[in-house]
Amino acid sequence: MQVSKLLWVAGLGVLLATNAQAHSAADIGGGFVSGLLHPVLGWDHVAAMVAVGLWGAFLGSPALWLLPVVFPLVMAVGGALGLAGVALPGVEIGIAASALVLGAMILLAARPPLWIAGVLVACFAIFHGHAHGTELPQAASPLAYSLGFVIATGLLHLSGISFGLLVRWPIGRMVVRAAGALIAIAGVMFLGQAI
Amino acid sequence: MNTGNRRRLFTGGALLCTAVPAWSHAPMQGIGEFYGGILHPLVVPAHVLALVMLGLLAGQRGMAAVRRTYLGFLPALVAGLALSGTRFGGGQEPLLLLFSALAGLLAVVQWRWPIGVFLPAGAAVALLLGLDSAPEGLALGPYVATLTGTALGAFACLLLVADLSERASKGWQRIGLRVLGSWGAASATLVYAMRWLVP
Repeated sequence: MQVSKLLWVAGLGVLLATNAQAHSAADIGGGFVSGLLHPVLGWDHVAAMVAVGLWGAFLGSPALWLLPVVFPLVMAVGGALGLAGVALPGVEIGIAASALVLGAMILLAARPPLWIAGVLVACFAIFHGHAHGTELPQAASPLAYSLGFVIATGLLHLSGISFGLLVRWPIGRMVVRAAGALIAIAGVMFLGQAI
Repeated sequence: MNTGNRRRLFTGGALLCTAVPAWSHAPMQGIGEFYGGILHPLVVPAHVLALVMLGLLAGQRGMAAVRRTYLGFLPALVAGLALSGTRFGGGQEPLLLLFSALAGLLAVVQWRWPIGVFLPAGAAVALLLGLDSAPEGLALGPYVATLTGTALGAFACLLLVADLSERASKGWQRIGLRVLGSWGAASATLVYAMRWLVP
């Protein structure tokens, strides 16, 4: 009697097991959406990404496209460091500082040489990448997740660039610098939370 | 109801409860093998990324590079798909990711590569993609339909991206291609790193 019950349970277990899917559409879709939402749902990430676009627009070409191109590439290196388990001290402080420093650059209308702007943005990208990278292995589809968050990052840059194009007009220049001030203030708040 | 009937009823009920919808190795249920095959390269992130990066790279270099890419791509794709069911099939995703990362970086710097490079590059990507696209557990008819769909889907994707990239002549459009390249390179690098670094 006991054996027949065991057979019943085992049989039901076999029937309940679903077939393995090589590429589950739900995993890919879910991974992409969660990656897309990850930078958008963290205000510290949003502020820094928009600031990169704003500053690029403020500096004009080629910084306009160079900064948003440098950022995801270096962010990937930061992500790889996070995946490798390399402990980066003060990741949250670095992310908060990115909003503060980049916001201040826009507020002060700072125009450093292109390479300095690039190195500054690249340094901050390491921190953002590290934060994203540590969450990558938990994603249902890591590639879909990383595509999602890289695209979201790019779109945030784009929104910053679009807004930053107002610098063509004197009043627009003031509005963009005011936006930089807001980002810097938000950076101070993030920094207070991170410390 | 006697014990035998009760047992049969219970067995029938249990089987009904455990019935799962039929899957035909399609990314979407119910669309059939051919259309599932068309969608396959578009829903597998490593495949679509490699196709977009190849198209981007070839399109940036001009029509001569695009033609050579097609010339290498088509026969190699057919060969790769034909061999996908053999022991060579499967496991090509890391190589496709590596290609995407490199091609994305090259698209960012907009390096003017020799035209001759594009024929073997197209062939290599197509061969890897074809080998990595084996449908599982299908009879011959649906198997061939899936592979035919995959070939069409992959080529259509490449055609679209290469053509759009080749037409991008204005300054902001060329910048857009660089930005797309950086996104592709970053995504592929991260996942490639994960494969190596995460146990």
